[in-house]
Amino acid sequence: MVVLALLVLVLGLHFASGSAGTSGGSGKPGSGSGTVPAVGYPAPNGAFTTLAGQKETVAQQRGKATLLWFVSTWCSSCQAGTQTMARNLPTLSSDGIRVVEVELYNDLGQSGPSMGQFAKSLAGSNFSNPDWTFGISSQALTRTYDPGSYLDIYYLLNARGQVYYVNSTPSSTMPQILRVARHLA
Amino acid sequence: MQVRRGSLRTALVEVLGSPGRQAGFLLVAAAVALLYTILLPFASTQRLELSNWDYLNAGLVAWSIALGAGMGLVVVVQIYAIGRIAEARRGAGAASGLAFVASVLPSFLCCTPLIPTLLAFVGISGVGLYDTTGTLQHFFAVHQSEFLGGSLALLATTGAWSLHKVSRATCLSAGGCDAGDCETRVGPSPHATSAPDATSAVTVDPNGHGRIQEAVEQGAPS
Repeated sequence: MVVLALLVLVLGLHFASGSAGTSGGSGKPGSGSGTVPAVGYPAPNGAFTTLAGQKETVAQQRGKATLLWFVSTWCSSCQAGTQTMARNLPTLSSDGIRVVEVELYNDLGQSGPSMGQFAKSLAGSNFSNPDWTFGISSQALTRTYDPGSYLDIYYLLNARGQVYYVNSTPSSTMPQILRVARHLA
Repeated sequence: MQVRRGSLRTALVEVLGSPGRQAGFLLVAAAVALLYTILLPFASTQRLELSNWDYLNAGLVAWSIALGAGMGLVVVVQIYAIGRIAEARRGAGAASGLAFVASVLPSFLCCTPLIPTLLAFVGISGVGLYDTTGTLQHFFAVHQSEFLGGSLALLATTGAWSLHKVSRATCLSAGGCDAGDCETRVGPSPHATSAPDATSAVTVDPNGHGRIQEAVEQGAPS
């Protein structure tokens, strides 16, 4: 009975989580504790630190279309997505897209490999590709772009610094990314 | 063939003794294994879709086959037991239709494959519990194997328990057994024997109802 009760509880959370993901009227992912930056509006500014230790901001990415991608290093889809990204980086680069992949602040409070280990092991030879920057998000940036604690969410920003497209898990949505990237090119 | 207080193995041989039940086992096992090949890579894609096959590996295929075989066994044993119970009730002139279902339902509830299936589903897809806490998602992300192991263990236990119940029914075969040999007799006919509390309800795999994470794309460009 206890097992059954626990299962019912978790399934309930599942459905509650699913309904929250579609609420808000604009397809916002995870609006339970806030809304994500909306398509068509300027991307909110925020800071992250690259693996080289350099402080950068979202505003500094203006001038070139950017895929701003938030990951948790312990998340399987983020690991699979990074490998998928490595395979597709040449296509994205040719379309003028730069990828900025940042670890969610404090890995959403859980323990996982460091972003450096994560990136080196999964990006392979593309780890040092200038069109792919790895970093660690500030707390404010994570709160702004991932209020619903998604493990694996990304934003395509156009060269004017506006949010152009939002989705999650590049491991399963790479075709959409490539399609949108062609529009942005 | 007559089996008296047979072992689990004997009961298994009896249950899988007919070509029809063998085919049923293979069919259910293959169908469920196929569904698991889509469900198990969920953590890598956060979605339930055919493209999940791109992320299958040998370990996930092995889990799929094991869980499919477990489910196939449980379902076939249940179908067998239901058939035996129905046969016995008919022989005893017992109630039919809804009354029959109502009469056997309580004894089925102990052994449905529903709980193991739910356990596997929750364990695999729990990583997609957004708007909760990172702690919950992390828990499911790092304990997937334990959930699958628990699901498989529950299926095995359910199958073994069901077989145990079947074997305790003493008279497994269509030929029945002599009066006095049967542990439980529900009718006047010496050939009508039953296992009134045997096994569990047949349940379809609910994986198809798995929540597919809503795509969060907004305003795809025209």
